[in-house]
Amino acid sequence: MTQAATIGAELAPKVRTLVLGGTAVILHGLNRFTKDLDLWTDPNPTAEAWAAPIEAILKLHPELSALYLDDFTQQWEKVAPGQIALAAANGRIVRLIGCDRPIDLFYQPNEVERDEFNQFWNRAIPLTDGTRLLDPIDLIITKQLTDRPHDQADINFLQAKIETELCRKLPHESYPYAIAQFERFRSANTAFSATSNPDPKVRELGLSVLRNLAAEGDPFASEHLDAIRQQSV
Amino acid sequence: MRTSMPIPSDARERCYIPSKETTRQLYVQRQNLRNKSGKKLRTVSENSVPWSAPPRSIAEALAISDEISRLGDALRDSLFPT
Repeated sequence: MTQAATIGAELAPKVRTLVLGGTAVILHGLNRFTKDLDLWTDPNPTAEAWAAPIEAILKLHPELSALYLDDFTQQWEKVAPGQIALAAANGRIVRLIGCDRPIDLFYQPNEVERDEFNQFWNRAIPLTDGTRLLDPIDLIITKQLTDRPHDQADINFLQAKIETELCRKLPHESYPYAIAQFERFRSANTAFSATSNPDPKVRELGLSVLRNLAAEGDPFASEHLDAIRQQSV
Repeated sequence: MRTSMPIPSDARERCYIPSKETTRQLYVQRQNLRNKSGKKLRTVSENSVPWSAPPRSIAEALAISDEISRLGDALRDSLFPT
C-alpha cells in the first residue's frame, strides 16, 4: 500500500509543502500517535494553482481518491479527478484516501489566512524530504479554538518547549531579538527571564510585558513582579 | 518607571499568549502542590523538558506514530489478555 509519507515527499518538489497537525507535533519532539497526515500546500495565487500538484499526484497514483470537507454541510464529499480546484471553493480541505493513512491537504488551515502562507513558510524548519515543519508558535495558532482534548495537550507541549527555549535565550539575546519574540509569544516566565538581561532596554521590555500580563490577571506575572520588588528592597 | 511596550497593534493580534483560564488553573494547581509539599516548586524555565531528539522527515515521524500504536496495543494485550 502507498505510504502517506511517500506522497508528502512527492508533493514537495512540485509545491511548497508545510507539515501541520499531529505529525508536526511529533516532528517537534512529542512522542504520540497520529491517525492522519496534515499538509498545507501553497494556496497562492489561485485555487487552480493549489489544485494542480494534487491532480498530478492523483494521476500518478490511481489507487488514491479524493474527498473534500464541505464547509456548509460539514460532510466529506467525493471529488472527481480534475475537480480539485472546485472543491477548494466549497471547503478548505481535500482528503486523499487509499494509502496507509488519510492525507488532509489544506487550502486554508484553521485560524490562518491564505495570504499568510509565505510568512509561515519562511519561519518553517526544512526537513530532509523537502517539506517544511511549521514553526511551533504558528503550529499553536492552527490548534487554537479547535476544542479537541489532544490539541490542548499538543499546545501545552509546544508552549513548554517554546518557553524553555526562550527562557534560555532571553537573558543573553539582543533587544531586537527580544522585541521580535514578544511580538509573537508572551508568557510570565519568558518575560521574567528577560529581566535578567544585561541590556537595560531588554530588562524594561520584560518588565513591561510582566506588568501587562499581571494587569490582565496572570497570577504568575504578579508573583514574578512581587519577587522583583522584594529583591530591589 | 512604567513604559508601554513598543509593539504595533497589528502584531498584538497575532501574538500568542497562553489562555487566562489555563494559566489560572495551572496557578491554582501549583499553589495546592506548594501548600502540600511546603517547598518552592520549580517553574517551567527551571525544568528540563524531556523531549527526545526530533525526527527529520514525515516518514520518520509517522514511523514513531506507528511504533507508539504498536507498543500501546502490545502493552494492553499483555496487561489485559483476552
